[in-house]
Amino acid sequence: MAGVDESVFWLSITELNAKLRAKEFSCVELTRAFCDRLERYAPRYNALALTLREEALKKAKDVDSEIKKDRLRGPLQGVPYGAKDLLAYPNHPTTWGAKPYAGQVFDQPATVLHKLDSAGAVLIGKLSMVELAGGGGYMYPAASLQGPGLNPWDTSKWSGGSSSGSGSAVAAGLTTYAIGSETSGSILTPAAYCGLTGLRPTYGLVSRAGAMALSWTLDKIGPMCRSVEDCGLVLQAISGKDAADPASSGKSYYYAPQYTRKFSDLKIGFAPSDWDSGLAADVKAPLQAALKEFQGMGFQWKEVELPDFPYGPVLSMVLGGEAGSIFEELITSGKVDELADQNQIAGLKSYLDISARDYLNAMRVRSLIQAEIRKMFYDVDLIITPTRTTVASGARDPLRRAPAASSTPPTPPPPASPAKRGLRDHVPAMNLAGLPALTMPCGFAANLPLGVSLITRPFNENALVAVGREYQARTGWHKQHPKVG
Amino acid sequence: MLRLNRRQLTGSFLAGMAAAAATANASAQAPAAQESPAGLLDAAKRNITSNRAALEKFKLPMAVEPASSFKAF
Repeated sequence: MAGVDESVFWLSITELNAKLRAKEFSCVELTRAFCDRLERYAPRYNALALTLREEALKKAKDVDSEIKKDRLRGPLQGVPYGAKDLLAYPNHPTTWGAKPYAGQVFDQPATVLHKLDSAGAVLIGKLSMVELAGGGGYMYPAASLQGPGLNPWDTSKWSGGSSSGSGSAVAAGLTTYAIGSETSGSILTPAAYCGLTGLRPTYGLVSRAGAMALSWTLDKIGPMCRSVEDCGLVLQAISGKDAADPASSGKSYYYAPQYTRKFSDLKIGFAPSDWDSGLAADVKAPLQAALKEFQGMGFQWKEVELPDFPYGPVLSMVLGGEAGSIFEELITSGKVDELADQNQIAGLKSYLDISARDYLNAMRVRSLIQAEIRKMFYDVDLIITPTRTTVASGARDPLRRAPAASSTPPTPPPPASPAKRGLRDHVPAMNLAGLPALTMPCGFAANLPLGVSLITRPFNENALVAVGREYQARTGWHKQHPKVG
Repeated sequence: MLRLNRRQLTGSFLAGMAAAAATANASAQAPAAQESPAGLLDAAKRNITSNRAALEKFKLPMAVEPASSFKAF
């Protein structure tokens, strides 16, 4: 065996799996190398909630034995990964990033972890997160048991939230991929800030059984990787029907981007104002270059903008109404005061003031939003927009927003003089509509990554993957990684 | 016409000064009050009130039912 060298930490899922099958190194050697790296560097980014070295090495031994017998399970077999600490892993603490739950232990794994285990994947650690996925509306990145998620591209900057540790760990090559979750922006934001490819699946495509609930009607679980192909392969493994999740759609995803319609038949919606007005100059140039690259790929184009709705208030009322019920015991027992962020505490307490009428009115407006967004996709197959209009903010800086504000991570301020709404509210709007999105790195500003997002109809993830894969083949932004060590 | 004697006038002036000082003091302390748990809770509750107002601007016909499927289409 040739052994494990530094380069393996940046390989894709397919490349690693091929090397394992070719017996260039064993799964035990690979797992040990990743565990060493995770334990050594993750604390630098406040990314590690729990190391699972012992369990991972045991699993790796099983994988080696299977590979030796030619019992091959697919591309994830033997590949190390990490999971957001919102997912239950048996007999170890699952903290949800929050002090009141620091000693919480489950006896069953979350369905996604079970599915990955069946695919032969090796879980090497639980990754940090913003406490309770930021559901109360946090003001500081430090709202986590592990402290602020630090960005591997610049450790004075935030890694984004709420899947902070997943973002940092994958960007720094501490795990090949990670599982994150999104209620409103918690996959897209850290993926964009850390230069990753992140896929938010259609609502109901991936089981949430065994995951912390923040909002039953908004929560999604998805992959955070270093390439579109890896996202597709992980999504294939974790999607599918699950009786344990009442919201499970019963649908599965099969990674088959080759069957997507040819690009000249696809129509992409975009809002010119997204790429121009109100953007800082250093952000504008790389984002416009990204748009130009897509415009050279042979699609049809159409100008679109989001219908005029108060997306933030609707999302806030839906999330607040559900989170107030989910965390009622935490709030009324007073244990909520143990949380790290005073804004979160106040936000959660205030949710008890949301009435049934408030919640139902928000859900009725949500019906209108869904109907209008559905109409928008009659005319286009995908839409494209910057994932965020800024790079990562300082890790110690307060996040600019009102207390207990709408989306889980802070919403960027509106452009100085927005002539049009554009698609800038895509995070709350598309989460309310339950639509899938893919963010990919598309350049840098101030030495920090920027992301571009594609969004499409429900269960049309292969279109995202097909277009995203072609973009990554043309540009290579996803292959850049920060210096670690 | 209201007529004030000197004592009343002095009292009124001092009360005005006190009110002005209290207002100035309150403005100076506003950010700190905002950071206190009670201030943050008030702000969070005001946020809900403002979200409620934003939603009330929508005229919702009786036929518009709450979303029961959580994805468009």
